[in-house]
Amino acid sequence: MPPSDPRGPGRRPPREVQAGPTLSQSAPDGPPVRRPPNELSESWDPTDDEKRPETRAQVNWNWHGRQSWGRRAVAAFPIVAILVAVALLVHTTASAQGAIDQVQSVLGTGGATLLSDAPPTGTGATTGAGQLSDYQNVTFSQPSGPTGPIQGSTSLALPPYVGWEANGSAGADNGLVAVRGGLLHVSVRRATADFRGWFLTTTGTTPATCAFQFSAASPPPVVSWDPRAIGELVMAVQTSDTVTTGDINYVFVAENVAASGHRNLTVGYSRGHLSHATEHILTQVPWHPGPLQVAVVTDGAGRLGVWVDGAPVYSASDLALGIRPPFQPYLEVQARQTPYTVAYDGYSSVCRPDVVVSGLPGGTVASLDGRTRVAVDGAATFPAAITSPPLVGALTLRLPGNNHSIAFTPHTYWPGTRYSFVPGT
Amino acid sequence: MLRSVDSMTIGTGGPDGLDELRTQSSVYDDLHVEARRVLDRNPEPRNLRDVAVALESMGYTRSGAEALGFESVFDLATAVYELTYLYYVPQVREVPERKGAWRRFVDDYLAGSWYGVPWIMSVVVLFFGRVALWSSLDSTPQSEAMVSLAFFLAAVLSGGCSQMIGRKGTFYLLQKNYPLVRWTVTRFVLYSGSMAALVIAATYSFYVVPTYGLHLGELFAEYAAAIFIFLLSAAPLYMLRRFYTLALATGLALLVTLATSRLLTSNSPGLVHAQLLGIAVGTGAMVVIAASYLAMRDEAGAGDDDPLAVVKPPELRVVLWYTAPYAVYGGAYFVMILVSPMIVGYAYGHSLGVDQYVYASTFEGSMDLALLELVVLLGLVYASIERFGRRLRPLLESQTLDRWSVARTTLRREWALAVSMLAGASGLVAWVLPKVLLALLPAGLTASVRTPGGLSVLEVASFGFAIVPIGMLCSQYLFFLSKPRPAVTGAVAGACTSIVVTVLLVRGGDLTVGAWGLLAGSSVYALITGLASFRVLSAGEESFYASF
Repeated sequence: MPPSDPRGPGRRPPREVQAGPTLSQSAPDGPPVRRPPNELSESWDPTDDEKRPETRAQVNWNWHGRQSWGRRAVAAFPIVAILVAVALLVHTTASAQGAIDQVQSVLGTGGATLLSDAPPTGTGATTGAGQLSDYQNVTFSQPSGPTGPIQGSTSLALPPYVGWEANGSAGADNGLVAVRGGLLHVSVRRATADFRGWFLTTTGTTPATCAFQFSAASPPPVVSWDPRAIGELVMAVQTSDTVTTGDINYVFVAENVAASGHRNLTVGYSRGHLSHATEHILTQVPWHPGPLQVAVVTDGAGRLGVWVDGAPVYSASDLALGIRPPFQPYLEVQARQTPYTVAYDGYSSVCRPDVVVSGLPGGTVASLDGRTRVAVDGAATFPAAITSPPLVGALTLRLPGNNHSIAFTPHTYWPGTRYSFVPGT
Repeated sequence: MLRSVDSMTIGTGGPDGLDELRTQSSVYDDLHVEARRVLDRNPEPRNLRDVAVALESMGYTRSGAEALGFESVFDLATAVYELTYLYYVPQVREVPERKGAWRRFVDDYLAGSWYGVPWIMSVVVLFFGRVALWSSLDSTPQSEAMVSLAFFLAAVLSGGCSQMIGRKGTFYLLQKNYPLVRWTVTRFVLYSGSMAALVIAATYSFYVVPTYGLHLGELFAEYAAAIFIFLLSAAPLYMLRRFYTLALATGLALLVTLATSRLLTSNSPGLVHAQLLGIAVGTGAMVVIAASYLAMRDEAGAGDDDPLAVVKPPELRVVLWYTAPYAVYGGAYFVMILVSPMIVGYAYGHSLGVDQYVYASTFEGSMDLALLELVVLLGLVYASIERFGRRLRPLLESQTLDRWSVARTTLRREWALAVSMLAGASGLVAWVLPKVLLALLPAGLTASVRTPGGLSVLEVASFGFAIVPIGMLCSQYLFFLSKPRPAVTGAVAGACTSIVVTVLLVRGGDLTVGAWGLLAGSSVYALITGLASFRVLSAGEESFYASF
């Protein structure tokens, strides 16, 4: 050990540890050298052969020579990868909006679940990637954010309800749509001298073979001193090519509420071009306060049927409607001389009958809304026409060989939906 | 500097010159030195050939021998061999504990079975606590879909890294080269961790969020990270063969997960429940990380007491390059066994009207139940490869140069015995275990199997998973002899077969036939690795010495 060694006298020289197989214990390669074996170099690094053991210097960690670009790339990879990962996560999280449902589900006891089928029904539906590709079983369980503009359109988006848009004659400053408390609220906020409306409609379409089922809360009384004041809950089915043709052709079912408290249910249609469209009343009957479950079926030509709570209210097949399919549903409010707000709790485009729960073990007994069915070929079918009101309640399943029933949370089972039974995972 | 052999040949010429040279005292001293060096290389040379081999391994050629006055290396070996008796020190041999072959085999089997203990514990805790690691009986299908996607990605990523750690870390560990064990493990963990972060973030940004939305995307990222950390943190314990520590840490992690989830998720529905469970999984992973760290410090911490030790690490990119086949193998292995449920989930989503992965509980539940077979069979793989390792070296060392055919026959017989025994056991387990599990496990855990199609999935998947250990054993033979390429080829081919066959089968809409994809993939995997390992073992000593 040289006296100048900064480690001082009496310290052992560094013991080297290498990648080679147990080199410290073995003799080096090569023919004889004229020194005792215990003085042999223990290193495989050729440069060490040039040094005497006592002059061996501390070896750098980077003992493979100069840095090359390849070495730099390998050395920089972890920090670069982590930085890129963090940037991706932050950017995506900050720019993504809303939630996209995968498929709807109903939870049951023991981890069991019902997954709802979502077959495409629309032609040219524009609900976007990852969305339900139709408008089945739409509920308003998620609170909405503030409405926002849609590029190239006068309509407003209602996040997170992608596939829906708001518009109307009341204008954006006087019309309002918002989802809260499980209800879609559609409002005309200030009184206007003539009828003004605001609505939420779909961006996608529904074919004429389907029923349009609306579910709404009872429209509130009109609070106004003006005797001409009137508020309307309007459920309409309109041609989807209004934007391109300007035709305002639609059928509607409306509950009108006067300032006097008088209510009536009106079925009619409108036909014409833009402001020249003319409204025709087909039937008008006195009505009473209460929730409304309305089904509308029309071919857009001569046939129109309207059911309320499953009972037929109007039916005709000789009309001249002139509504070109496919259609769009409108969840709407109209008001005159009063601010007015109506509330909807659901909508469904019903394109096939019956509620079917599949994936059941044979012999399973299913009960829903007072009806009981036994599973055949793995499926329990609850008959329901496309115009029937949804079955509401808690589905229970009693599986064969199992003493305990599986009870699902209360749910609205619209006709046409198919559920897959998923036992506890 | 070591003297050049060539420089020593100058001045020698002809037999007379050689005889003269041999009588020089310096050459005599050299022969003594060489006798000691030969013993350093081979403490117990049995014959002249052993000495000649040692001299050649020291760099002697004919010219080197001539420099000392001998005509050939064998002549030199004759002289050196006579001197080795002067320096021979009888070796102190540790007398191995005498154990019957079967008892030793059973011991190895039980040790190897600890691999599966964490999964058995998970099933038990899942039933009693409704939550076990990333599984929850109360999850919604949407959450389950995200957890499944996250688990698939995390398993493939961590599988690659675990294999790299297993290979290179064990390489240094068996040399007792502890600084490089730590060097290897920390770098593999760092690089695979950063790679995993990149892949998870890219999947989150470019696939999951655009397809499933932000909330489910966040759930995916959370679980993918937590599961990856959990699986990767166990890799050092597997490398150190600390199976008991692993079981203990996993048990503790299960309890922590259960307690944390109870604490956090009470009355938390749906997505929030799943998010909080993800945090619980992360908390549980911390336990395994701590266990891994302590085990590493305990096992590979030697050398820390020498402050002057200087580590000369190997070149990192070279190490990464040469362990890359093991990473590919580890990733492909998990793709092979887990991809069928993924494809079936997408087919299920398609049948429900969405182009997304939807958790197909019947299929997944049946596959998971069949997966439990590996718990029984992995111990057998471990015992077989341990037995092979014990027998190989004595077998080859006891063979003389002219009797290698006997060794090769013995190795072929060893292969045939181990593989046929494992195949028989696998077939039996695949046939019996599903029925036993269905009879023994609580109905809550096997509900998915009892739904239509579940039983057929279970039966097919049972045989699919039963074939996997055969491929694993054959891959271990290949890894043992440093021949990773056929194993990688087998795993990649198996994964591709699983994908293609499953896609083709479920296109018709019948999801239950998807399990045949696993069976086809594992068969291809076992076939390729089986043939390759048989071929390698048939080469006997050539394969053994080539592995160095």
